[in-house]
Amino acid sequence: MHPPKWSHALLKFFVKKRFWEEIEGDMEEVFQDNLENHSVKRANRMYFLEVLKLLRPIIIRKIEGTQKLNNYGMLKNNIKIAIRSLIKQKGYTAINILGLSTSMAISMLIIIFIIDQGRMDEHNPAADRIYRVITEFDDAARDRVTPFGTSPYEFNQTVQFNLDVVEDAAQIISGAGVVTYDNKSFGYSGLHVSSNFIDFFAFDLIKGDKKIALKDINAVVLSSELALKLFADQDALGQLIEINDLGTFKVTGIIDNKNLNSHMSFDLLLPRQVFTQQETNKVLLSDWEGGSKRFYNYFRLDNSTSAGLLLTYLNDLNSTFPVEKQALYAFNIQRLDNINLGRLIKNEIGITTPNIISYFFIVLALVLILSASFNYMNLSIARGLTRAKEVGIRKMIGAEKRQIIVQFLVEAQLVTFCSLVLAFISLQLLVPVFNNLSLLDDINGAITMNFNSSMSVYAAFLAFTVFVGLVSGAYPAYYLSSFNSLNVIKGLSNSGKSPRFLFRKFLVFCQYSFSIIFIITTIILYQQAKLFANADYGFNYENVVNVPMPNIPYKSFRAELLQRSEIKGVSAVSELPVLSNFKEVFLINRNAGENESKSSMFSIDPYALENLGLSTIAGRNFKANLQDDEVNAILINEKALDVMGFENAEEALNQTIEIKTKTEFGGSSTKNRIIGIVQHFDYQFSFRESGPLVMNYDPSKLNMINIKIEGAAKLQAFEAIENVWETFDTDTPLEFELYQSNIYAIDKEFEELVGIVGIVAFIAILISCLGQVSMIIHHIQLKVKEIGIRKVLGANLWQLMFKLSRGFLVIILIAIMLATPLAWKINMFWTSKVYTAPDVSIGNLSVGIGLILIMAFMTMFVIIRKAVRQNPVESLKYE
Amino acid sequence: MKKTKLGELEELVLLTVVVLNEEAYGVEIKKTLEEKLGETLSVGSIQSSLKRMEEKGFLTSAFGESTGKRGGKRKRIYSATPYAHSVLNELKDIRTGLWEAMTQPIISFISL
Repeated sequence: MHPPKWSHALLKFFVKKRFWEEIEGDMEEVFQDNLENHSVKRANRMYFLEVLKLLRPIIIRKIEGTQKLNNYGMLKNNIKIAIRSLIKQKGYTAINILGLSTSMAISMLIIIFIIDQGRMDEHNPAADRIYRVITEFDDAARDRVTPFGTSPYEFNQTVQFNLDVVEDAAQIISGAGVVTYDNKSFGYSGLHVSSNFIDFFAFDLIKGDKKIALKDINAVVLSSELALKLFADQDALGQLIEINDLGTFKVTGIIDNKNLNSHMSFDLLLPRQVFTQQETNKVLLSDWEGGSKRFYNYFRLDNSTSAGLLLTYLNDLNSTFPVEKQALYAFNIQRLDNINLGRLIKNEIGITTPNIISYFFIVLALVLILSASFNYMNLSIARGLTRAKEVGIRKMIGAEKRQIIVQFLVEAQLVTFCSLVLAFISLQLLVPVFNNLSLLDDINGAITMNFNSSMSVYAAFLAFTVFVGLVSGAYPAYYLSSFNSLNVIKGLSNSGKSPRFLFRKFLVFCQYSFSIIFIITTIILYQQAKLFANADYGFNYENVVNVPMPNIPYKSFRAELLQRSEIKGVSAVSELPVLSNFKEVFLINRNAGENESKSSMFSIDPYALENLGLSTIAGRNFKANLQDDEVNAILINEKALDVMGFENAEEALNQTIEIKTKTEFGGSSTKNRIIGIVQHFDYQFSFRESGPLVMNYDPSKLNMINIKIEGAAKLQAFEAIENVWETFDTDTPLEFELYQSNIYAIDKEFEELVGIVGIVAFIAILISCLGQVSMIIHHIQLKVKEIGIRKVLGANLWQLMFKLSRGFLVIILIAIMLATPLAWKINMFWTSKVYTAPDVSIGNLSVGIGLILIMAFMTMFVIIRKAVRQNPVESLKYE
Repeated sequence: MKKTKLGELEELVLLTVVVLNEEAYGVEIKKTLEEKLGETLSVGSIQSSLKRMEEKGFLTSAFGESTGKRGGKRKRIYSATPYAHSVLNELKDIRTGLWEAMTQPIISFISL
């Protein structure tokens, strides 16, 4: 029986070397004695305890002075040698640094993006004990639980006063409207907040006193952006502005909304009473369910451990609700600093970044780093043979394997640090470009940090660099240090068959596979972007201006507009096709019992079809006067025919069908008569499928007016609209948007996404090419003599080139064979989720493969040709 | 002489070394003392005392034989230097002097 291995190793670790024999011996003797009287386990434990008791000053080995000096000296030497060897191989070093720095720059960009996002709201000293109450709705229709950021209005008082652990509570009610100053009007989306808001969330006012800013009921705090729009260079503080029809408000503070660093975003802040004291709003206060509610409750607890108590209390509150609601709703809490980069929640106050986005970016960064690391590894190993003699000599004069590994690791770290410097410089340029992506506006994603003041970022970068250095350098270090010095000095080198050679080939294969997948994906994404840009939705939205329905009589407004020559048509709809979501209803298939199919529904006026360039293929349109037409008349589209079990349009005409709507509490159904069938048009953004559609004429639901204008005279048309508007309503400012530009805006985001993937693909491919170039160069250097001899013996150029490139060709072919199906699978996956998607066709795949092959061949060709043309006299001179 | 030259455990270990003569090595010293004191001692405490005394010049040591029980490792046999002997005697004299100077006898049931 031997003493326990680990304890023994521990002993040898800290005991002075000269004491080893006697102490080990004594320990073992005691151990054997113990075994006579105790169980093995017991004896092992006693041994371990004895080892611990050996930790005494006189027994523990010291890092003696000379040892310290030795390590320091070795390090200096290693660095010197590393620098020298890097300079000797300028070309390879440059390639490595280039590849590494590019991928590091992008990864660092992603790192700061994620750190930045993760830091939101962390400036608040109480961030770990402020909780928001959210409502979880058990959505039976979609069979999942949907969380909302809102919760009942009363909670603010109830929770605050009934739960001791609550120190303070803040409440926010969202709202939107129009703000006017000096005849300039802008729409805003803002928050009505409790008076402790600014302090509670640890915000700062750039102007104004935050202690009294929201005390008065007529006070308003503006965001710096809105203040700039309204007041330009003037001092906004103290000015009076008009808000909707609520009256006049005094600006008591300005808040910097660009540097809020919070999950919330808003244009202005109003005192909560402004909302609660309005008569029309009083009824809304008890209405907290569903998707469009706007009360947000935050509570600050005395301690983060009290969160459990809060949750329990909320569950208790839930049980005071009527039974049918209890099953549908549950209340949960979110900690303030976990709101951003957390769950995807509906009804968010600002725009938060859900965690899937950060995962996506992390994967992207990893791929790039791996690619560059592979390059480094490959290169180092390939050049290992040149370093072989060096390693051999070192070993002969007594270097331990460990020391040689350290040497190569130092070299790898040096390269990585150089790349870090380069990457850091590129980063300074990248950040502004990144922040300009409009893709980010949607997710409040612009990088707001100022890195010069954040230590944790520097620490993260440093750790990252060391990590990359280790990853890239570990394998080469291990491989290079294992050279057998005897063989090396003799001149024998590794043949091409050893497993290590295979590993390098594997690395090249990986890089090529990544590139293939990237290229193919980019090609398909590009086609997708083009499809979106050129999508024809089947109705006419060119030269159409959309205006939200004002509080004026629509019919007279319409009549006045039509009197102007620049106006070609006026109609109204409840929601805008393609830009908004329609209501969801269910249609019953009369041939299949109670089978229900989903359908969309929206309301139009009798002029919409014509105005938007649509026509009926059977039946008729709604009559101009609602009273003249039958109640519950509807129009359907062609797709609705199928799901309802009609053979054709004629069969469906004049039939009465049942339409069901479902709300949280059950549903309702109406009987409607089909008076016409409309030609198909795409009412969803081409991402999604436009399925069955039902249209009715319900004037109370019409929210948007479509005005078709004379394309050639747009400015005059706008003026005309303004003029007519003013004759009706001088208070509310006119807001309108071009239908076409809104649709284009969505495209732009998608284009940017394609752009990003494209760039990443380009970089990955660049890195692979660099890798390949260096591998080939090296390969050729090995074979210089062989080529020389073959030439002398009469081989022709082509034969030689083929022979040299054969190895690489095989790898590339294998990579193509394996990566293409993978690329196909990946692209099929996401295109299946998109309605109008390009085909993942052989054509596309071939283009991708073709590009890769061309690039591969070109690089190979150029290099090999150069090598092969070399004068054999030169290469054989030193024999 | 300075009282701080020898600690309590050190003195005991030193005495044991003298007693054990040629068998004076780590484990044996430990066993003897454990028996005499009636409590367990750790290898570490014995070793550290031995090493410290060797540094102070009270002990010399040399490698002895190896045994199977020790996994083939040799023992280190310690022996007291003349200097150690003189210090021990000095201490003994001081103690004896104090005991005899006691006017109130301490009744002890252990044989003196």
